[in-house]
Amino acid sequence: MISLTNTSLRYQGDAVFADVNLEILAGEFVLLMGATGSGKSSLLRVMNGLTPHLTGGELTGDVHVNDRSIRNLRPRDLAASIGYIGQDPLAGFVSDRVEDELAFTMESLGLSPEVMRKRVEETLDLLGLNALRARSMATLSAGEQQRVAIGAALTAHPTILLLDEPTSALDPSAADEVLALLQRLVHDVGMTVIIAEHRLERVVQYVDRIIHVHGDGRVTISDPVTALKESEFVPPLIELARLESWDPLPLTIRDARRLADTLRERLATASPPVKRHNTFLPAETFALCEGISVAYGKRIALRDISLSFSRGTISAVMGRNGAGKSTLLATFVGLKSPDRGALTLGGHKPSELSSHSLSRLVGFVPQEPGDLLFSESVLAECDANDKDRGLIAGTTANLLNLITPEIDHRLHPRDLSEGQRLALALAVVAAAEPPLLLLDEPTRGLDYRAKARLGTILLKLANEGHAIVLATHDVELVAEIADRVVVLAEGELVADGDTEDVLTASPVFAPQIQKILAPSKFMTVRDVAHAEQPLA
Amino acid sequence: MKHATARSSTRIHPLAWWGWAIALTFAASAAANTWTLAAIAAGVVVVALTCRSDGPWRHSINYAIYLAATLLVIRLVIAILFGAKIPGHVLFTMPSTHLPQWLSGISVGGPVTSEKILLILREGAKLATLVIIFGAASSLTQPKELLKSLPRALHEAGVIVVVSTTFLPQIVASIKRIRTAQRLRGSRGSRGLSLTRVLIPVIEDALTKSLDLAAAMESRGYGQTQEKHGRRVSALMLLLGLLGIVAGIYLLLIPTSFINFPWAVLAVAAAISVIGLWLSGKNLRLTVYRPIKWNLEAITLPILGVSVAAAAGTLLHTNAALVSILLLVCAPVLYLGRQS
Repeated sequence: MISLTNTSLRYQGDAVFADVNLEILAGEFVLLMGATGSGKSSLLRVMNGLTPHLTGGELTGDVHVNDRSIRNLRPRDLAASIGYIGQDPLAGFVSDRVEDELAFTMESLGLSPEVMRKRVEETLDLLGLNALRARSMATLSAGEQQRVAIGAALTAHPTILLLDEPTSALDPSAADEVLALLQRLVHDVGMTVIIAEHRLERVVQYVDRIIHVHGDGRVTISDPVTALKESEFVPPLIELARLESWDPLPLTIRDARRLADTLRERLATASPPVKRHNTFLPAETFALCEGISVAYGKRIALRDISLSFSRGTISAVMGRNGAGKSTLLATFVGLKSPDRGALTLGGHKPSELSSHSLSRLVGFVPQEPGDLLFSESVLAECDANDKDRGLIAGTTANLLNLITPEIDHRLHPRDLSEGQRLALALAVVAAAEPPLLLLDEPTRGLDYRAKARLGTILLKLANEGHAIVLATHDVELVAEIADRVVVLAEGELVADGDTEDVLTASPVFAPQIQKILAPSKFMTVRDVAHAEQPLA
Repeated sequence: MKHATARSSTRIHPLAWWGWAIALTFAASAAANTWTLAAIAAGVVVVALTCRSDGPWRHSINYAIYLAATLLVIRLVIAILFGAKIPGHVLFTMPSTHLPQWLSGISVGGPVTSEKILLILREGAKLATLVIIFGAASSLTQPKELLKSLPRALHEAGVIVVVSTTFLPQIVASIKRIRTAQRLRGSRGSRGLSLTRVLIPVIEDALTKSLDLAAAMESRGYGQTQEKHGRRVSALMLLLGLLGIVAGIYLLLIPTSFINFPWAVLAVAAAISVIGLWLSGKNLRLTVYRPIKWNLEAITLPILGVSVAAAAGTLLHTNAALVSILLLVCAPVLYLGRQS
């Protein structure tokens, strides 16, 4: 279906990958994995010619699609055989209505109106999008957008689908829906699907083979078990399997549960997982809201929410896309003043503070860390921040060194990896030591290593007395670091309690380890390792 | 197979509505009587409110009504304050001042007669009616549907217009997002400084988004059927045709002695342009999804418009004539109005 022979890609002499040989068969579901910035997206784009046609770079070797070399073809010439869906589907939409979007590729290909009409109807049915057909793109949820993007690629009847991080912006249930859809396309339609993804815990159980982009130029393809045995990046499920030396390596929760019988028995008698202690005393409440409601025009985004956040704790705000998480964060940073109810930060009302004094009470790291950054180099960014906030010169740079020591201060913020850029934004915000620190979707686009490091940083900041609030879909991160979970649905508070209680009570939010070890309340590999240690 | 979607109510060919509206503007200019104008305007508003599309432009009739009313009010105020004196029944008298000699043409204040107000209303009514007709036409059709019915050669340009209309709101959203994020950095800098702080991330964001969009459009076959050969001929013909049209209009307006057949020049030039458009469209293997067809309802619309124009130009100004004009304008409501 797709074969790469001695393919190498270089940008200005630096090899992204070299001498890649791999062949993907018809009807395979293949996962592309690797660290952030390892060249996953580039490899994916090589398969339909976007690299080097659109991005530049020097491609050597040959790429065959359907036994035809694509050396002299433009990506647009492959539109009928390969569908490509980028990281941000909204940015790739051309029309404003679902139905027209589905037809766009076919219009470009010059299909007859009758064929187009038939295929649009078929696709609407196949993906269950009929109810959305007349909707405008901007009103769709992130999961719906992803499904429409897939549908828009499908109408051209391609045999191959390429997807770049299709679930990174989605909540767990929307992600499951998209992945189930892809699996159905592989099984029922015989589609070849290749996806690049960081959140292996969501994908591994569906795929037939894994392409591992090592980051040092090597690219290998193998079956999931072999790939995961060697990989540095593994989902919690595999980590547990390694800890317990299970053989064969389980890929699904079901397989793991079968292997975990004895472990479950042992853990039933073991002491329950230790909770993190709030080392910051006194554990005073810093941010408090009582009965707040927020509306955008007629749409009510938050309804009667009462919450408090204490210094030294990490809280996670979870819920579907559009449940009001971002609005809650925006309200706490004073970007949105509540229509009803009261909100105080350390006794002050945010609406009565100047933006300068507000920024000493609360720090906000937006979903796109790049939104905060404007300087030409990391060092200039840190200096500007010290000046802005009236800090002693070097404060931000020192904090950044504590967070990520290996960052090159001469680089442009755009040239940093996702994780490094997040670290820089975090340093810029945290340098003023605001007691309340809010992060919106911090793990989007981060690999496991960067995520683990973020977790360590956040725990450290919490121990220093920050009240940390994360809005996130990442169940595994929440299980690792959060003390408390708040769940929102349609703007209302539906759950608020200890991480353990909230996560284990919901089948959607349960982390992998908990699913394997239920009914015991162990949620992370670390907990299990801790409980097993005395025995070993 | 009939799909009960919002689309079904907008399936009238947009050019039909525009033809109807253009004919009505002729009717409005033919109408000498203010009551006829009022009948036309009222009928248009009724049609617009009952048959308008679902699109974002559906509210343009409301804005057109505000605009028309504002225009009338401004004219009234200016005329009452500064207008020439018209004899007749005095309604009220404005305090007046004597302007210096060199401004003798303009009078300020003075008596306001009912004749004066009626005259102003009559003069303003024509403009107001035209504004309302234009507003109605835009709320009855969707600009994007209109783009769809353009000649194929203009299709790709049309796509660019559509893309930019969806892209702009995204940029506005990202400006908002970045401004709020920057404000939270607590920057105390001057205004100029904060502008670059917002602009740099906004431009970077827009650039990333445009590259994403370019990648998406490229991989979805946009521009795939453009062929190099044959484009030159059609481009040359289009250029010649347009030049010919300009020359024809010039000849029509400023008659010269040696070429006295401007209409023939115009006709030939128009023909060349049409053939050029058709040729360049033929080279594109492009199709349009669910093209809007001219159906019976659509064909009747311009015919109705023309008959309104004929009636407004010929009928005597009797009450019966007014009622029949109003009914003629409102006729589309009978078969195109919402059954809700």
